[in-house]
Amino acid sequence: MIEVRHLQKGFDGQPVLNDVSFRIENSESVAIIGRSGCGKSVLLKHLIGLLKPDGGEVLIDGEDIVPMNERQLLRVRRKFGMVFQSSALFDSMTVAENVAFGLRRHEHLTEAEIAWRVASALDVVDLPGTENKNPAELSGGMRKRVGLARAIVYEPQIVLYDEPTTGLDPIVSDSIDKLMMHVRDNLKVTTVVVTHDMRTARRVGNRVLMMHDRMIYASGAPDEFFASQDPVVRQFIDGVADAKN
Amino acid sequence: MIFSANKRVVESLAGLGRFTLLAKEAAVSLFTLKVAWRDLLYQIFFVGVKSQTVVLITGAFTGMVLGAQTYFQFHKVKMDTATLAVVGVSMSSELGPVLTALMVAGRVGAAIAAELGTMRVTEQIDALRTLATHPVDYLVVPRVLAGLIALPLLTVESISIGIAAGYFAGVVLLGIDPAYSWLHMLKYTGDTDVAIGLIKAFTYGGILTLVGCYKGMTCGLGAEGVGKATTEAVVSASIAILITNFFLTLSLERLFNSL
Repeated sequence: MIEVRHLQKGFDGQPVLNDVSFRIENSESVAIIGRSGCGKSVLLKHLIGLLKPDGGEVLIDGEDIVPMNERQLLRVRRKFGMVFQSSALFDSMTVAENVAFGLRRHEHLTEAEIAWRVASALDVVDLPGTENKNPAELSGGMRKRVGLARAIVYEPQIVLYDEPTTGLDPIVSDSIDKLMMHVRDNLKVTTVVVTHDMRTARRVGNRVLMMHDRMIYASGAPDEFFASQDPVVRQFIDGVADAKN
Repeated sequence: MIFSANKRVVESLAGLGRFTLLAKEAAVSLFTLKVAWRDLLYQIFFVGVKSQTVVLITGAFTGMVLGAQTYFQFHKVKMDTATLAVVGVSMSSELGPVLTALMVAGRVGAAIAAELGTMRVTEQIDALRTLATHPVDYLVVPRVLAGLIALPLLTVESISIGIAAGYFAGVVLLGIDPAYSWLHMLKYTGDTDVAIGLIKAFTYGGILTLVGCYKGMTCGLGAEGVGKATTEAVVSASIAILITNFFLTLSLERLFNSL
């Protein structure tokens, strides 16, 4: 379970998050949406301790991770898998080495077992036989899939996605959405996806949180949320710019 | 203007604090972590083996220039055969370790800062952290350990080739008596000179790799940030090596003389 209480964060005196609070139950899938620069990715990075807040608490299974140092956080992070917007694959390693990274570091497995787990994870993301390729040889969509394989190979309890479909064409975006739904439904993981792709939010999230003005502005089940008549929510869903924009 | 100067001083002190914390974290990790031999061997290859050419060329030509210059001065007072002794002592305790460290700082320090800086701006360091891996354990420790091991070995090479090149310049090119040159070199170049040189090399190996890691891991965003970090790594490591050299020279000479 993830619980965020009164989270505050600013950079160089500019507030980015202001009194953000919400709770995500185990196996729940939450899409966090909001305009570019509204602090969605910053919020996501707080959930796994990549950023320290200026105030507030982040509880993972009831344990506040804010006071923890980097070494103490390593234990908590084993519960997480994270897919980055840029994929963040290790470019000095092959696909197999990328996917196997977490297994080699934290689990006592034989090379045969690691190879099997890597092949299984690559099968899940529909990239069988790519083990020996370098990240530079892959397309953007393939890199995202490898990033997802790396995040799920050690069977985490929580998977975080940072803008997983940004920069991809609609067909590849669709395949990434389906993969996220597959992981959500088959591995029974808690899913948090940060996106401004309405289709991804609607399909992947069991609940949608919208950020606006540095805080959680609206929240609800997808059907309820996308039917909202609130002008701010409506404007974002319909993608209508202000006159000044 | 005063505000700007104050800000720079505060930023410099904060940077020094962050560097000290990184050094402390690396030291703790160095003594408690199970070493990943594969990573360490690769880093030793990168820091040590791949620096051979630059270190050997630097050592050889420094030894020859030092031999020639010393001969030109000593020849005036009929002390030609003391030339190689000066080359031996200078190469062992000063020029060997310092020039090796400066050359390796230019090659390796810059490469480390660029590699880690690129990893930072492409979120690869954050990815490491999400995979429950401490960046200091995985990125810093193997590089620092490789520097600590490789620099003394490179320095021994530099000293050896420097003395050999000094001998070549003095004896073969300038006609100094070979037997007395060699005798004086052995007489005046003591074990302590070599020991001082190796202790210095060990220290500089740690400094230049740690500075490279620090600059890379704290670099600004984008290509400009990586470029700046790379330059700063070389400049900061070089300055740190030169300043440390002065204090090491004083303290080690006193220490060895008191033994």
